[in-house]
Amino acid sequence: MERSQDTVVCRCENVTMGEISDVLTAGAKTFDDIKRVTRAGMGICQGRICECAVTDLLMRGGGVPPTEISPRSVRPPVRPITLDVLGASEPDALPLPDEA
Amino acid sequence: MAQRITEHQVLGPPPTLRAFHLTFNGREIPALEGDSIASALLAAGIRVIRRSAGGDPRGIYCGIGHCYECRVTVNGVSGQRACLVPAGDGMIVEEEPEEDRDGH
Amino acid sequence: MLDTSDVAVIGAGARGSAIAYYLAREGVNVALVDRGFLATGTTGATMGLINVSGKPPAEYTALSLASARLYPDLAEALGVDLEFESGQSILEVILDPADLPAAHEYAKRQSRVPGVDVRVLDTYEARQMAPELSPDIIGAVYCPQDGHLNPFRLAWGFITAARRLGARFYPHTRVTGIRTTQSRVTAVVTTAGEISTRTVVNAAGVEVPSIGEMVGLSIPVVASRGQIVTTEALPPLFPGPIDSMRQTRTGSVLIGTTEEFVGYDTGVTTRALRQNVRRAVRIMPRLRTARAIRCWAGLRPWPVDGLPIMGGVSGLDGYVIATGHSGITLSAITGQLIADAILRRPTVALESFMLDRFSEGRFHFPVEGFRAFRRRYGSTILARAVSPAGGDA
Repeated sequence: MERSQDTVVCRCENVTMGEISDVLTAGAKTFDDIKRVTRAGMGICQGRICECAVTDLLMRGGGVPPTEISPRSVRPPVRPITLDVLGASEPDALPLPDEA
Repeated sequence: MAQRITEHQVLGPPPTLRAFHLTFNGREIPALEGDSIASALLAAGIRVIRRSAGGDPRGIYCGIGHCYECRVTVNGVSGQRACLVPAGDGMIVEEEPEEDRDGH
Repeated sequence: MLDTSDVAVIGAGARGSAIAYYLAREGVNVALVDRGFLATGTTGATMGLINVSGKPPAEYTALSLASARLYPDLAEALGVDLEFESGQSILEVILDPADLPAAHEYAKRQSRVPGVDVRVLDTYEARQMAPELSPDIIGAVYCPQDGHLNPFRLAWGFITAARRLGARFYPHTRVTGIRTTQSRVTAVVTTAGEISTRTVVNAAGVEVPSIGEMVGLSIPVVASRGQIVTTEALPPLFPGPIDSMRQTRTGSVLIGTTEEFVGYDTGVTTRALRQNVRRAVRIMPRLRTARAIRCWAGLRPWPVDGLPIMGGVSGLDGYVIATGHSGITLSAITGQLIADAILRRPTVALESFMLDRFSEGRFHFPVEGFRAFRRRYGSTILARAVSPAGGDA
């Protein structure tokens, strides 16, 4: 199977290689740049799966040297967690450092 | 079509495992003790687990709980990863609705 | 020499990108500089709200209304779907009956502004508009002029259209200095070279003060941190923003927010996360089973009297400031007014918003009044809408 401009790179947000190429042409240099324009990396897996492919495109299509590639930014929660657990206030809820 | 291994050239035949059924979109699927929902679906030849926005078929991708491609509704609870949830007797598994990117 | 332009705009966020577009549209030669790429600062960390009703005093509300009215035509002009919607926004949900009189008074006062209609809905009316609202809510402050849009589409729409009209965009470029000769701006110095220009627009968000220092100006803007958490994509649950929540076009529900004066710290805290989430599930119990997938923090530029700073400065020709909070709401009107001011067109008087108001000791209204208002209403959004910066939480 050949890759083409329609090849889906970010499966969570259905972002194609063509869309990413366009952003590279406009001067994108980081995963975050591409994320903010295309939504690649904003879906439920938060870039776990597409980061490698996007990084590859940054290097080849965007001309970013490997030494200048920064990883995608990671924020809590480490994995999806329901709001009822996040908002829990029962005594046996996980103690959280900055609530001490 | 994925098939269960009945004779492994190193491990020999598999042990006898408890067999039961779950349903996927109302269709009864055989399962064995130790199956994940995903392996039971694969063994039954079911590879399309949901549809993306635009209708593209999606199914098991990473198989290790990272990608959420295999998400299904299990006994009414949505967003369950078929690759991680152990298959259970009588479990009701349903396809998630097609992604709606223009909900408003 | 990196470039030569009539105007150099520093900061390509909601305000800067709009200014670049409105100038380029008039044939002005524009260079747009940003330390990042798209929406790297405040613009990329916001809720995306178009807030008209929550912006006293009257002049601020009127400015917000004027801006809100520009978005439908703007989407067409930019050729971009801004995902703009209005008409079904709830400014604040009332959970305590004791808050009702204040809410009614607020609605009455805000409704004096021509074109603005703020009402307090009762439980039934609110749930007609948004059936997923908890039956336990007491009421809801509603304003049909409020709305929302996609901030990334907004800024990228402006940047792309400005470039199409001849503007040059220099992303990943930091401004390191501004050259002046005899009280006139002559160039902007950047990490990529100098831009020769006669006018510079300081639209640098929370970095406005440091860009001010480059010409010896003290611009009283502090950073107010807002923390937001987003859920996975959900089926459509409510039509417009409600209180501290907004459902985006892709189905994610954004849940905010805080106002913390913690300097330039964009860290997230579990305390804020819990606080935000608890209010959201109290307002809309259906969200209990929704999954949060990411939280972040943005820094809002907060001029110390809470009002935007727009316009030139006395004593230095060619230095224009365009900042404030509520940049998503005010993006369009800021672009238009600043472009008009630079082109020396008759424009809505910017005097009340100019930097000089601080040095003349003439605050637009007393800071003390804000603090009293805030004490009375506690930590509601209504109070947050009028709270000044200053360090007390």
